[in-house]
Amino acid sequence: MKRKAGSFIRVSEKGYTYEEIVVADDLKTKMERPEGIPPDAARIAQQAVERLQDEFVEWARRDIARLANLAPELASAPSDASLEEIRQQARIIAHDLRGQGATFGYPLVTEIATCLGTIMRLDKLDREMQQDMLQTLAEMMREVIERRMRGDGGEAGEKLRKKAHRMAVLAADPARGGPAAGIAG
Amino acid sequence: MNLRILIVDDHAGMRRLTKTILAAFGIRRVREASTAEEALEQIREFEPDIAIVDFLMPGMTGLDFVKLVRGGSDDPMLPIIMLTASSTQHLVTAARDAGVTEFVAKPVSPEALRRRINEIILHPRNFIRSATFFGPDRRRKRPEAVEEDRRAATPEAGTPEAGSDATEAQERVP
Repeated sequence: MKRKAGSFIRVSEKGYTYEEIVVADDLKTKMERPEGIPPDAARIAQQAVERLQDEFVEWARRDIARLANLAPELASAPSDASLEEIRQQARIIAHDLRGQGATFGYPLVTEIATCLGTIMRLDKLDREMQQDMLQTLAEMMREVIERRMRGDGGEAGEKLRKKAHRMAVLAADPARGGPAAGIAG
Repeated sequence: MNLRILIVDDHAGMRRLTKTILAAFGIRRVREASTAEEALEQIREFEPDIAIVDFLMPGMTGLDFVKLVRGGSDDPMLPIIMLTASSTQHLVTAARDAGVTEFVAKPVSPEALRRRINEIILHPRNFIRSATFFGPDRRRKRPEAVEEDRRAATPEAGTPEAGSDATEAQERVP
């Protein structure tokens, strides 16, 4: 087997037999650096990532537009299966935005996308409410991107953050008020 | 540097980000796959030393991909770093059961990725094969013990060492 340098048969504490396969230790040679990747390389990489920020804005715009387009589809999905498929698409896009936002200096995008991901996992939530929330959260992320609200986004960012979290709470428990009662602020 | 890395992510932006970080590390032999199916093909052709895989992808998920690699690919012991935006205990357990080597939480920081790659290069994990599990050994042995194993290892499986590591039996061994 590739990478295998040898193996032992061992017995666990509970008396089960298992094979321990020793992995060939050859990556250090390929790396050509006995100490591995030096810490300094992470600093250089961080600078390279910062240079990608403008590209991130473009990716985020595209992803947010895709989310906004999913909202009407969510409302008109003809079956439970297609509804779930649309939710899954929204979850994947939210997951991507969540993963990238903070990396590129937009932690607000990460927070809003996290709330969206939570809401899109609620399969019992009223379809119209879910559609409204998807639309609203996409719009909020668009605002963060277009206004270049990096970091915490100051006072405006705090308002958006609170609103997104309130939506996630309301979605989990609509009896607490629903969109009309809480999301508008 | 001859290290080969395969990036598996459906999002072009994330692939670009990871590739940029790897380039800054001096790793330029990098291939990309946008689906798990494409990645399996790349494992055959490109023969990567490490795969960096996103957890959530449309179609086959990152976890399904890891299971396929461990279960029947051309390189079942390929070190796999999983990128995940969620690190709930449930997910971590599922990923370990599937045979993930290392995790990096999103948002991905170059420092976190550097540490995980170094871990794989400098302290490669042995593999465990039991009736119910095949994957990296999650226990951390003393460096001397690891070195001892390497010196003693023979290409043939079956050297009986009953009880030699009984006190270190890991959770995954039934």
